[in-house]
Amino acid sequence: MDIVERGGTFYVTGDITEACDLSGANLPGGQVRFDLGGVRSINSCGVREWITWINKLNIEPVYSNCPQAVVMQFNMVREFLGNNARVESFQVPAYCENCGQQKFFLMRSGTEFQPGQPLEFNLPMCGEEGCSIESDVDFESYFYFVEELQS
Amino acid sequence: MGTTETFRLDAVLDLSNRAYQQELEALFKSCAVYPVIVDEEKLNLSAAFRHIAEQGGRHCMYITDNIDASKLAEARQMGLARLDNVLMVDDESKQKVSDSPALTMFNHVLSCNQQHVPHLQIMSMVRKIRDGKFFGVDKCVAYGAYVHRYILSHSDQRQWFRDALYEFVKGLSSFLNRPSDMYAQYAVEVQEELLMNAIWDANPNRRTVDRRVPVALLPQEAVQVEWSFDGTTLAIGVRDPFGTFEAPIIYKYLKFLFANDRKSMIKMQQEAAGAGLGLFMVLERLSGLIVNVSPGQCTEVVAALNLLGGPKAFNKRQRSFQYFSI
Repeated sequence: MDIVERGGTFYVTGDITEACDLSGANLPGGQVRFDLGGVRSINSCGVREWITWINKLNIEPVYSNCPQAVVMQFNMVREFLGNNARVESFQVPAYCENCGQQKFFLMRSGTEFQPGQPLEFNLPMCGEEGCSIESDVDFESYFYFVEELQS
Repeated sequence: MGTTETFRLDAVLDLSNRAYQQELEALFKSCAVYPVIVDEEKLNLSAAFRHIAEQGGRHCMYITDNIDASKLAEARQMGLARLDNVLMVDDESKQKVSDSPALTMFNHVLSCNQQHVPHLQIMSMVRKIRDGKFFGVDKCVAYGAYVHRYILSHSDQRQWFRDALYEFVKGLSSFLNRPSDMYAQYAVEVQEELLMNAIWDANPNRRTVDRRVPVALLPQEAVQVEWSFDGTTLAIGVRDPFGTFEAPIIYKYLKFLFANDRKSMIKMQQEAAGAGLGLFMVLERLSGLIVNVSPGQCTEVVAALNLLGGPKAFNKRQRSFQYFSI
């Protein structure tokens, strides 16, 4: 796992494992914005370690651009969204068999979803004839965490 | 004229659904196993076993969908050289088995979240019992699929395993005719949990050590990893040399498997987040899980991922769990 700071946002990439160590990332206390778009996978020890560091460093995380690997953990591990965590945006993966393209729709807080409220979302068609775009995730379980977010 | 089968294997079928029992009777005959049907009005359990013993049977499977400790004890006393107790759990019988302490009396459990355990799984079980060969991912994929086999001897090598499996599954994209990165992520996360389990949880000397400290495994602690893809199923197998998988864990697997909907699965995961999180992470990402345990010697966990169709269908697909204690 690597963390790089650019323009006040901390970009996290790679696999979050038990080796996760936020002590060397020069993270400030208080509210910290993480872009998790580059996270490939998270294991069960990695989640726990991440939460431990967030608590230890007294960080109020703001997560953006969260990929599926992260969203699955939001749903599974309640503490991941503890410590006044906010989710600014997360990805919904989709695929269109007609054009053979994979697409990621970004769900933004206050725009596509409201924290603490159930999320209904219809994938936008690509406009081409025969568009058969379909999400790669089951909305019912994927959006579960949104209802539990602090509003 | 030669014979294709010389090893005699008998079966006693004791199922509550008569129509299904007849179906299995035909299936077993097709596998050269001649089953005796338990019918309390005509032939009770003792009589069924006595009949087999009188016919010269020495190795028998007792197949039931009902957990009855007294019947199991009775079966054990019938003097057969070898008895394999098999519990079948499906949508119809799940209510009867959950929370029964006698569940651990079974050598084998075949379970699924559909109407009945698929025939192929039953036939595969018969083959395993007949041959006495349970280990290896080759049992979970179609004949001919190549098996990639590796040995892990240091916890840090997991990085290589993550990268290699990710690329392996991503490389299947052209074959599957769609992007496969989501499957790759699932596969990597499943393999991770199985490896951590084999390196730390299964090893009585390492269960409580700090996992942040990398560890070199002794030769007798080395973990074997296998991958195989047969065009439909990706099988990932991890084998440790300890055989410490404890039977009560089966309860957790079955409860999760039979959760009524996705939300209740998530609730169960959240409740288990403190302990056993890895278990649920594995179960959520696969189509089938097979656990082979030779107590005190070896545990092999094989995760099977059906890669046909999109990941969304994958999430809703039927799951199965099989447990073999050898």
